[in-house]
Amino acid sequence: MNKRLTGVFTAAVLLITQALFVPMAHAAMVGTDTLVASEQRAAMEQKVLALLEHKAAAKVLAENGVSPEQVKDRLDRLSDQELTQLAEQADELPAGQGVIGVILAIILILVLLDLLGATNVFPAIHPIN
Amino acid sequence: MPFRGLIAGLVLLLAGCQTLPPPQSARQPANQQLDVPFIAQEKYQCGPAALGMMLQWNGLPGDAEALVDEVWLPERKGSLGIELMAAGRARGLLAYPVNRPEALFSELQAGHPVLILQNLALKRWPQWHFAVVTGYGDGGGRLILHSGTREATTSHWNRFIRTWARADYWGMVLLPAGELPASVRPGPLLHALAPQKKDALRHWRTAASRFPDDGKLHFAYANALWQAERKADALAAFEKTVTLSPSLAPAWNNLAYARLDQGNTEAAREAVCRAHMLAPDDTNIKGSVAEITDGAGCP
Repeated sequence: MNKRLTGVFTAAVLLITQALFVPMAHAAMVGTDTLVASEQRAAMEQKVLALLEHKAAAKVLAENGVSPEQVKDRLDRLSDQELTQLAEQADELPAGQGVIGVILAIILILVLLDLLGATNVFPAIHPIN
Repeated sequence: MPFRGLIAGLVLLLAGCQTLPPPQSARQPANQQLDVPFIAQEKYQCGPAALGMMLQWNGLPGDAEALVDEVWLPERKGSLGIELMAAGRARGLLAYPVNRPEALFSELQAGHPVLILQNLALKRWPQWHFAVVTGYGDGGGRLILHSGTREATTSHWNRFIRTWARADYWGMVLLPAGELPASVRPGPLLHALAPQKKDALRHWRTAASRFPDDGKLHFAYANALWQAERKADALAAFEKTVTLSPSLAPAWNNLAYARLDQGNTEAAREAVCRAHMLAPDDTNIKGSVAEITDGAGCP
């Protein structure tokens, strides 16, 4: 009985704190650093989207039944950190279209799709809701 | 047969050693030597020493011993470039990146010493080192550096450029408010100044007057005026921003608040609705619309 009460109490506390911390639709001046941060994010998204231009991309997407538009639409699900990591790795792909370059590109695209919840090739990667 | 592979490998290796000559711009003038105070580094502490020299050149206290706590990481036995930049910013200086040989020579020609990172060993087995470039000779054929325990030491261009390239051409100048790097461009300037706290308003004013047509720098300048409670000036600067960059939604958003503050409700609504039209998915702007139109929304 006691245990149950504690449970109810904890649940109530959780509910109340959640209600308190629901982000208010905040209206305010936009700071310069916010503008710069969103610019940087847009640049990262461009780099990640460039992956889809890779010659291996069309096949990987088709095999997994995902369209490039779906990837674009879901890109804002990625956290800044994930986006940065992907963008850096995409940046470091060998410039040529050699075998290793293609394999690395395929892996990166699959990681991207997993992160977006479109596929589940790598069970260790949990999609972002 | 295996010889052929070996030879091909050697040719590739040699090709890897070839470096580009110094840029043409280093020939005019062919020599340049700046007067920069020298601090000899202790142990592995080239970061604090190099930073100290840059600060002293700016007329600020730059005791390397005192800087060790601020920018030296004992477990790495080194400093991080971003921390050196942050330390400069905290003292009200603009920390601006110098990432190309042409920019390096432009800065030296303008009288600005450049703090650079070198990798003195191999890509896979790096030995990082910070030094201050204080001049050059022979049309860029040799560089003059305050490096480690050596004052005004000379490095040949070939060796210098390889060690700098292995550090991804990391470099920076530190300049007081009112001055700008010779190699300055509006985009990197916006990013360099965005984290600036101390003396921010003076820096932004300089930036906006150097690039009178750049909307984003004017936006930042207007924000700095607003933060300094100079609201009428901020209003004028936001008005100018939207004429320069009519598609910059955040500028219309902020203009709305600046107009509202001056009692111009109708014009504030027009501005915030323009922002909403430009960026319909922006949650901040949606909130602004609700607040400024008293929940009425945009037509």
